[in-house]
Amino acid sequence: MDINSILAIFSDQNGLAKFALIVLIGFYSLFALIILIQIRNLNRIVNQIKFSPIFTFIAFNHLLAALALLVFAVLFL
Amino acid sequence: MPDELEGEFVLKEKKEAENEPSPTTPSEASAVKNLQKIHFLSSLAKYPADVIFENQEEDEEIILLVRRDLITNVPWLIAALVLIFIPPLISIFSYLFTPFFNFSADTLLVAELFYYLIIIGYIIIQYTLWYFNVGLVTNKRVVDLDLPGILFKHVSETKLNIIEDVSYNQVGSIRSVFDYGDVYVQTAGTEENFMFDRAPEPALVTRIIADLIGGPR
Repeated sequence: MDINSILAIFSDQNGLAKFALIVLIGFYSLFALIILIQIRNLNRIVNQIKFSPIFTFIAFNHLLAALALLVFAVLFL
Repeated sequence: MPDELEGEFVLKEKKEAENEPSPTTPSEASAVKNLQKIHFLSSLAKYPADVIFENQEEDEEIILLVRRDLITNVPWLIAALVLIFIPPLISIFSYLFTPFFNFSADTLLVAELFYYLIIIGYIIIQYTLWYFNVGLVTNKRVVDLDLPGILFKHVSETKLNIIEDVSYNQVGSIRSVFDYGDVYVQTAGTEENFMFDRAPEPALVTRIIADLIGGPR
């Protein structure tokens, strides 16, 4: 790989941004999964019977949104 | 004469006590007491309905549920609101960045969606930290769940009969205006002390715990 091809990669701002976005969204999806697991664990310690399932559902949707965004970024960017 | 009066009062109290229905099971006891309905923003509840906790015994009922006062959520709510309005502001002044940055519309859309997802995550985390930073006072013990960060939790509990002292402090104008403060529960010997951080109505919380530990041991 010569210097020109390296320069070509780094001069493509859009390509770099796409790559960075995909990596960041991937990490964020893992983080969203950790949040969901943690909320489920904490709900076991103190459980507000009517609200706890809704809270878990919100965290689950947050994870789904992160995964959907990751799929969209990988497929369509 | 005063003795007779005292006697009358004692008799009256006894009669009232006799007239009260005596619950035989915890569920009946809960039914007799006025269970307080709580929602997702409740920060203080006496005899909260529909709340259970890990290792709760069958004859154990929750007398008090304490979270940080609702007003303590204002700083992160303001931060979230400010963060929500940053992308529109950037788009207004985007002409300033045009010579330096050149991204496709798709990339910008995904970046913006990702940004808003991070804000939603921030709100969920902050709410989680508030919601699960909870203190429970039951008829047998005090349970304190501390959650300084999303990946760090600390659960401690103590029996009511080893609590020695309960006090609170309320420092500053905001705490006085909104009536919240720190409640300290001091236990005997080397046992861990408890603190209900920024609890609403600290005087009431302190009185309820003091009444519980003041009872027969």
